[in-house]
Amino acid sequence: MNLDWTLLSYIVAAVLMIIVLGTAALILWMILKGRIDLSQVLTEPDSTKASLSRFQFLLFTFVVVGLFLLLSIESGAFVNIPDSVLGLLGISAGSYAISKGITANASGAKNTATAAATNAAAAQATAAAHAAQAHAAAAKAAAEKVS
Amino acid sequence: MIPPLAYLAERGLLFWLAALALVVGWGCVTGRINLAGMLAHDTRDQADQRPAPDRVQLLVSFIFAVVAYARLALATTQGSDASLPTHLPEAPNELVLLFAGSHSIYLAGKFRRSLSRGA
Repeated sequence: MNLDWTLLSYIVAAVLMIIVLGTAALILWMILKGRIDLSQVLTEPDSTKASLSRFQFLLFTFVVVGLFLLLSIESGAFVNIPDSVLGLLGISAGSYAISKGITANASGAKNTATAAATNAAAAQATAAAHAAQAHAAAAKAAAEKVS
Repeated sequence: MIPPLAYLAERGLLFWLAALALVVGWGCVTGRINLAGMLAHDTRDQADQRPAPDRVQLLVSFIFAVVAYARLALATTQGSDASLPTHLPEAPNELVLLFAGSHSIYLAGKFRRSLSRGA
């Protein structure tokens, strides 16, 4: 009976491992075949230039995760991550978030100014149209009076 | 002989992470991943492509910090009296200060430019 449970747990673990590693391999395969497009992975959605914050966040995550995995394999158990390293990760992620906030704020202000200018132009056009309409009506009335 | 699953899973994940890093690195080198304008000033009109000093200093100090920490972490496992590691090595205070200072300079520069654009 004990052997059966051992065998069953081994099979479940093997199936889980195949699912996890299979998914990982599939993702890698799709990247290599170009079906997952990484060309804009460092580019902001509203821009054409690469983002330095994204780059450093990506690189630092690779390094910390790689070291974590390597040392975990070495020791045979998950290793602890000290506060100072979490602090470094926090600085990296925080800098990315703040940087995006500054960019969004700047483009928000720019959009507001553009919207205000558009509204002003629209109001001016409407007023001009009304004036033209009134002018035409007056001209028509004058013409009727003459005739 | 049944292979130890944990060993296979760990090696598989490590290999996957290394392959992913290689693919991303190769993409950056060959230009398949867009790196254009990463060090340039924040301009929407794309006219000013000169490197911004705050961005350059962030990149240099960041790479220095990452390499220094990776070397420190690898050295902990390769010493002659190295026992099995139970945690990642502590990052030295100087490294944290360098990292924080460099990011602060970068954010300050970005904030200043966004103010001057808004004015």
